[in-house]
Amino acid sequence: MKYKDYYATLEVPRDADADAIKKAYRRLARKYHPDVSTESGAENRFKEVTEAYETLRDPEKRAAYDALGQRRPGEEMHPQPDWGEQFGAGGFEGFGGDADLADLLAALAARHAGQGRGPQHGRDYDLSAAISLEDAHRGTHLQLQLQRPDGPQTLQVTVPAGVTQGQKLRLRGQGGKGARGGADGDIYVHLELLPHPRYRVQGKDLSFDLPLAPWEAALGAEVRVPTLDGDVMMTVPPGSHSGRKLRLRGRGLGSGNKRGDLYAIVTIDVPGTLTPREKELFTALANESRFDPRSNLEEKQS
Amino acid sequence: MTSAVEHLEAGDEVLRADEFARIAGLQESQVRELLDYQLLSAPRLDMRTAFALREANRIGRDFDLDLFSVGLLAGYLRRIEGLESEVQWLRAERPARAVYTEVSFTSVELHSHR
Repeated sequence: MKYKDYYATLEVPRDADADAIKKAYRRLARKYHPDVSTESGAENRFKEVTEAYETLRDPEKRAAYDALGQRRPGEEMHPQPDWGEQFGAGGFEGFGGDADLADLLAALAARHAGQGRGPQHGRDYDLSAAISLEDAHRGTHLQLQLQRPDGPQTLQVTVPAGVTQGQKLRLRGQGGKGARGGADGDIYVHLELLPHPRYRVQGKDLSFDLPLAPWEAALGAEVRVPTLDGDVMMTVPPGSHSGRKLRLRGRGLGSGNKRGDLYAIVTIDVPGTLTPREKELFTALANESRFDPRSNLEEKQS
Repeated sequence: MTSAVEHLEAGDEVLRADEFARIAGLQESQVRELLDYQLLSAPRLDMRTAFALREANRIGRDFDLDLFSVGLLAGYLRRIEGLESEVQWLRAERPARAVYTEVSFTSVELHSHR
């Protein structure tokens, strides 16, 4: 078993009090936590810091650790024969030469905790997966890697059709084993939707921009639009101004009668350059029409 | 390994206290403590809050926060989630394509109306 210097890891003297240990841990956790640190190797450093703190914060574990004496980090060590009995961890001899110091101390703590305690719920695991909108709509199978204490495990998870952004899946009882009659833990899979080049997601509803030519917007039109279930012909009502939302009921995400809607948001597009004939026609329309799209603007100003 | 999955909708329906505690990763006694602190209210024992507490609890373990701080953090996480979904809604409402062009202009004199 290799010795680890938990005091050095937390950068505190061996006689540091509980408050100093807590402060040191919080400072280092803030520095190395994977959620906030961009330093390379931060995650491993955070694990080391957490392991050290888990021992030094607990007076019984700290006393047991201190009784091992101070050594060089990485030095091979074997606890004294009476160490296990002194700290209620009789039978620690079962830990082989390649055992981990943290496992030994955790076993000691678990043995203490087991005396007079009730059922203990098994450990839960949280996994994240990003899936495409199409997979969310049709359902898919995911292969996820789970790091269990006894080694990595590959999970095949069936994602049902119709999941939405932020949806959670639970694999009940597939987490860590419960103790003393406690239920086994669960695995939670947190689903995120990958950005889609066309659709924007609002819960179960989807929206996309529908570019229309000025005459299509003014006169109405039948236009072909894409949906997750294939293309459809959509009726654009005459007089569709920019920003109008045209709803295709039940063409959003979800399944059965809980399906969301698909919204086509009208944007009016014009040709970048006009042919002479187009210019002539637009000029004739401009001269003929009495439509003033800025009438509201002028009323507000006056 | 293949396993049947439960589909957890992040909705607003109220959960049983034991189910809420299980999802939040807390003991039922800790849920009661948060209710006593008024950081939770009985009508808010829903899936959304349970997952906010689960995330807060994870951060709380990593940073050695007490239960009161975890409860406060969960409240802020819920607010952030609500604001994120509002931003997502607003983004979906406006056209994705916006072209900005610098244009010339001239001032217009104001005429007095009689």
